[in-house]
Amino acid sequence: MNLNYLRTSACSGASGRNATGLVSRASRLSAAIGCAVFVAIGALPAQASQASGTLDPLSLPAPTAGTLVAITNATIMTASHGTIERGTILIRDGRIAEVGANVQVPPGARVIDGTGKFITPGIIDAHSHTAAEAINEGTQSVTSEVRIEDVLRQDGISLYRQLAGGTTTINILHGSANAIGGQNAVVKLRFGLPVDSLRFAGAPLGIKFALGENVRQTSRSNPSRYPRSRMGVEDLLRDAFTSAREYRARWKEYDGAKAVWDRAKRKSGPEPVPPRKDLELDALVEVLEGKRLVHWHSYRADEILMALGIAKEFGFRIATMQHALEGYKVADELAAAGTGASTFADFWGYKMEAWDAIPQNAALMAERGVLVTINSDSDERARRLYQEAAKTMRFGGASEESALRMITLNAALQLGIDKRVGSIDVGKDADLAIFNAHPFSPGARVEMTLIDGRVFFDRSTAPTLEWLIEQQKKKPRVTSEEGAR
Amino acid sequence: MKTHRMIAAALVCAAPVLGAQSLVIRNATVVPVTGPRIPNATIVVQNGRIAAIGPNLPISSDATVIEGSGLFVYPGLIDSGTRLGLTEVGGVPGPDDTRELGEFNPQDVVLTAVNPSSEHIAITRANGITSAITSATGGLVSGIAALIDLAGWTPNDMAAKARAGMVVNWPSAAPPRGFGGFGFGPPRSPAERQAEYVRQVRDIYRYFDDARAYAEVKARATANGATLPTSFRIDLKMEALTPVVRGEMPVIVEASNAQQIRDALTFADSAKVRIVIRGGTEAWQLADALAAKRVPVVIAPLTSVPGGDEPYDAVYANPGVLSKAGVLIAFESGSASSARDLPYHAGLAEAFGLSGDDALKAITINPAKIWGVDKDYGSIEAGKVANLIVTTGDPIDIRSLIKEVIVRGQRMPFNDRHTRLYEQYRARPKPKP
Amino acid sequence: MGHYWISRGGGTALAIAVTLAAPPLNAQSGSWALVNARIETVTRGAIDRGTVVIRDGLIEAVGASVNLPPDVRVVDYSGRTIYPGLIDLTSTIGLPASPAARPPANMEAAIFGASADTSIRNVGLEPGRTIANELRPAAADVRSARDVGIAVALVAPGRGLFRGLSALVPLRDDAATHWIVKSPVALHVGYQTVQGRYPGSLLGVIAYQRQSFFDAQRHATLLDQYRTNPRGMPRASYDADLDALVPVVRGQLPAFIAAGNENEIRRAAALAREFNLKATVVGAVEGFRAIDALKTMRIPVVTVDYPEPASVTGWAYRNAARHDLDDSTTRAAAVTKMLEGNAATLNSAGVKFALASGGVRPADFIANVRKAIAAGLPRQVALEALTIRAAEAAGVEQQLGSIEVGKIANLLVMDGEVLTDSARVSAVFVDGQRYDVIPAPATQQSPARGERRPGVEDKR
Repeated sequence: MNLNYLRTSACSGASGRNATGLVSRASRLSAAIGCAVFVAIGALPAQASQASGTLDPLSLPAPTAGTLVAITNATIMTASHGTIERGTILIRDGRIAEVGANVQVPPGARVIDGTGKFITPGIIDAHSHTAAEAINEGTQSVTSEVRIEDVLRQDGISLYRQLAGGTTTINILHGSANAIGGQNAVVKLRFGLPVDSLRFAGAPLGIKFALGENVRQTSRSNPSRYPRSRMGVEDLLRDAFTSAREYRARWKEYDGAKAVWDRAKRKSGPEPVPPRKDLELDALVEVLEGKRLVHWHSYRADEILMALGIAKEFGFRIATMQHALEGYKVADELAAAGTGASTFADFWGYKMEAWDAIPQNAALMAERGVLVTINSDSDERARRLYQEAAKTMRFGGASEESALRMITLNAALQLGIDKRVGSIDVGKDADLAIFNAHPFSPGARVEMTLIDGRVFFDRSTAPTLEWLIEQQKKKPRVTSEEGAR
Repeated sequence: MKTHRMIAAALVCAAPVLGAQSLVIRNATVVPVTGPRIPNATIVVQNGRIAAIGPNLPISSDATVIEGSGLFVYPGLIDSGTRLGLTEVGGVPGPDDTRELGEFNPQDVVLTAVNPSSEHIAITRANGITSAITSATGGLVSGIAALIDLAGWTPNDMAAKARAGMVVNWPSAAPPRGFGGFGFGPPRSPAERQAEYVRQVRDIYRYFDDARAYAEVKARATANGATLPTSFRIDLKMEALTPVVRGEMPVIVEASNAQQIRDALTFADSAKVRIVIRGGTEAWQLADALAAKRVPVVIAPLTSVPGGDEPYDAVYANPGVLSKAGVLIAFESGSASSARDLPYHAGLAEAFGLSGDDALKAITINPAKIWGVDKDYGSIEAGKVANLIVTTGDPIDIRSLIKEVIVRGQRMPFNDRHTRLYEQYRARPKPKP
Repeated sequence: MGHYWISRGGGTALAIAVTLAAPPLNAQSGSWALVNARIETVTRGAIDRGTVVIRDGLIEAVGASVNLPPDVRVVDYSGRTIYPGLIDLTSTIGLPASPAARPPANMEAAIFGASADTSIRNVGLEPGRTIANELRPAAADVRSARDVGIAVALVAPGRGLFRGLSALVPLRDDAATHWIVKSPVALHVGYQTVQGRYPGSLLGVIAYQRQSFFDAQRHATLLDQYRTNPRGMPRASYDADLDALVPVVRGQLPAFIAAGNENEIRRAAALAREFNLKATVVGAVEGFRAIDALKTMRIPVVTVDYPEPASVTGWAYRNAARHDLDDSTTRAAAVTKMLEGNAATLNSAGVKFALASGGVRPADFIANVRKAIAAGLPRQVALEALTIRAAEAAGVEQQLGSIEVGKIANLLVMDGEVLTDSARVSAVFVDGQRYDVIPAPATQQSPARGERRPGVEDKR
């Protein structure tokens, strides 16, 4: 599955590639720095051209999109319409153009042989805290004004490791330190490109709320922040949304007065002064108006019900309860409210409010009609969400397709990006994970990850441990043998 | 099968009874681990041990029969590092017995603190893990780890080997891995960390040196049946280390990075003690040395991220590298609440170079060898303790279901906190709109 | 070695004591005619052999043939070159020291910030803090900066999100604060949090800045309306900090935004765009990665406090591609070269910029500028960046930055060409006062690359 040819390389031609796909040391040194170091996987460094002349030794090659790519003879797990044996996916301009068992490969298409491989939609992590330089603004209980998009960072190695686990889209959420947290950012793991290219264009706005032990600061010996109790949390929420309603009313009133003033030929008084623009309340007004999805960190069933009650009182739908480890206790209420749940497969018992968590949670909620996803909430778990999804089959009896949807299509639905990603369907972005074996089987690993039809991870050219050990054998390193004694 | 389920259900409230009645599994594919798989085999269990395995064995009329057609029988899985019985709910201090105060506590016997009623025991067992090392942490020497079977009325009932190993937490000169990538407290320079490391390692050397001297003096004083002179002060800590310096009990060295492992190997040679490396995340760097010295490695959960400069798959591929180099490896969950994930660590390793057979051995026969109980545990052979699981497939495959768990010949009920809550809320009537 | 120094001061200890306590021995004021020197005016070319006349702290005449007034003191600078005095726009000289930032004591502190600070001041969150009012420059600091050729320094705190209003200070030994060139020069903005209160994270910092600018816009409207017709109008609150932001949102006062790496520069550009600020990036050590963003703002102040390679954006990319096992040294060297080539890259891309120290020791400042030159920055551009471009960035190009009639007589007299290895500073004129530069004993070791002078970093 060596896909070097997929990348049109500006450098490889100059420096040459040896039989193993690696560039000899001599040619590396002779080539310009920026190209030489990464020439093993080809292409012009993304930043080099921008830097007008200074070759950047710290850039990755920009993955080039083949205009026409075909992945043939693979087992295609579509997540939307079952599994296609020995199928072909045709990618045109980064989108899926055709998928099926009888797809003709047009002449000129670059072909990836998928024989023996399993292809799933790119995995979507509905709860991530990676790729951001800050996660919690925990100094206040209400911080709806802060935005993850302001603090994105594109170069964490963790992004690469997640790509290596087939993850292509992530929902970066504010932390759970306070009841009303900050605005989330949905991004694609376009690792190595400038930070702005991470953004998932067109993804609906969202915000993180939180409940329970974290927002009540129960682990603090001397909490100084209101609220301390679950009833205090409800009060705080009601207070915040009441303020938001009043704020919206003030602006409506102003807009009306301003329109009258603007229309009047003889101005009867001074121009109306606009109310203070309040970023905190702006975000809450967007929630009230259904323009901002709420992703609500929660554990216990009683507080999930409280949140549903607040949402009903103020007339908005909660997009997801995050974690929702006791969601199975109130699955019917969640389903009735059209609220999804994004949970762990079997992570539990790490604190009191996680003590009633059960590994059947996801499957049971799904059985009751809740839109369920399995998320990582961790840079580690995000590298093997396929394994976590499989646990819903083991513990809750979920079907294979249901399990796969919990890390793909369902997440896209929860985030409102299902028109673009989440399944292998014609017209969607060509975000794909190619596995060496069935993704839920013990020997499964990701061979290749594509975003928009571009290869962002390719194990055949990746610096694996196996490769590293081979290199070390070729060129033994002197290790310092300093004894500690 | 149905009737047997009901029998099992009747046992729900009582803790499992270890009885003499015979138990038979028939028509199953038996995976003995130490030999080739046997199709359509029958296993007869008597007095808590495997009495016979083979095709067409006679079955006594009073035997409980498990119909195994279409199913597989594996040895019960062994977790080589857990906190089972020592902790219940994370962040809740009351039930937490995982650490003692002070740097040196070789005299602490972990088995003492094992709570047989811990919810985690039944939950872990339900996923096919029938035995586990449980051990404490904290300080440099944290006490004596126990190998327990995951069933029993009392800690002593549960003990498969009450004194399985002495836990030493090898110090580290690596920067602390704290919350959000930075450590707590004042940051220390690499030189400061190295100085502290050297001091702590020297403390460990001295401590074991003292223990050897103590054991020798005491042996001399009591040679030929002599009474211990009154001037000799009994030191409980040194007493606890005596079997270690005599080579009767291994030291479980918790060591993750290459420097720790390298220095622990030097220590083992110098102090003349038997060690088991546990953690071993960077053990691949020393695979040949570990193999040559025949030091086994218990691999920490694969669910950790590699260091910044390491290949993305370094943690996943480590077990395969070690195994191919001839190192005896096993896995640990390192946990109580996540102990049931043990086989899945082996599964992850399989994806990155560990053979399926070796993956299975690393959670069965290998740990039995490492803990010195392979005469009784770790494979399906006549005469061994009947810790068995009946499954729909390979236990390291997440999709496989565990149909039966047998500990010391006794069928275990699938009745734990999780199944109870599941059944309870699954039966919740739809709320009125 | 060092005999000149000793003969002047009668011993090192005595010399230091004198410098700190008494009127300095080497400051000489009056009217001057500096003759027979090569004059590099920066804005109007070079004069191979010419005269500069100084009177009342200003340049009275410059030229190849200038009639010498009878009442001036004539100094023959044959073989020397006169340049405009250098300008460092990233100084903390004279700021009161503040306690060093502490690491979080535990996870609680890491997540929630330390317990609430009860002090009234929130250092780092004071847009209205007027630096000119609190300067107490130490003579030793002033001299060590001046001795490398710096004649004026822009002083602002080095940490915080709203750091205050900066002052452009002449590096003279007497009454420097009395002769401040300009205050306020700019509102200084950064991305550091304030301990013990909101905002406690980068998230909050950016939100706080945006909310503050929205508030300032409204505040400005209220002030305007109230001034026009107070009757029946709500009056604006009295808030010195909000008042300080008003000229910034009106585009009358620049915002100097401390932004070093690529993403910070992009954040600064986004803030400037949203509020239509006259914004200058200060730092831009990874400017070569964000040229497009820099081009949307005022002339940036590029600092030469080169970061460590491993802390640069993209360092982690090396672990996402196969590379030579022993490449870390060569790669670090390549990255260092790239960082030192930052200014050269910006210059090639057509970005005009000022150069500044970024807080490194004065001697390292000049050495690091030389590294930028070695990496391809034309020396003339470097000189301009330290003089006229810096003056432009600070809005004092009418007074400073070149040798022109009417400008302040800040001059640098060099033995040899400035910014070359063999160059030596002979004298520095500040406001027409002459400070001869006495070569220090050559025993002092230069600190490691990138090392900052103790105390500089933590001044706020």
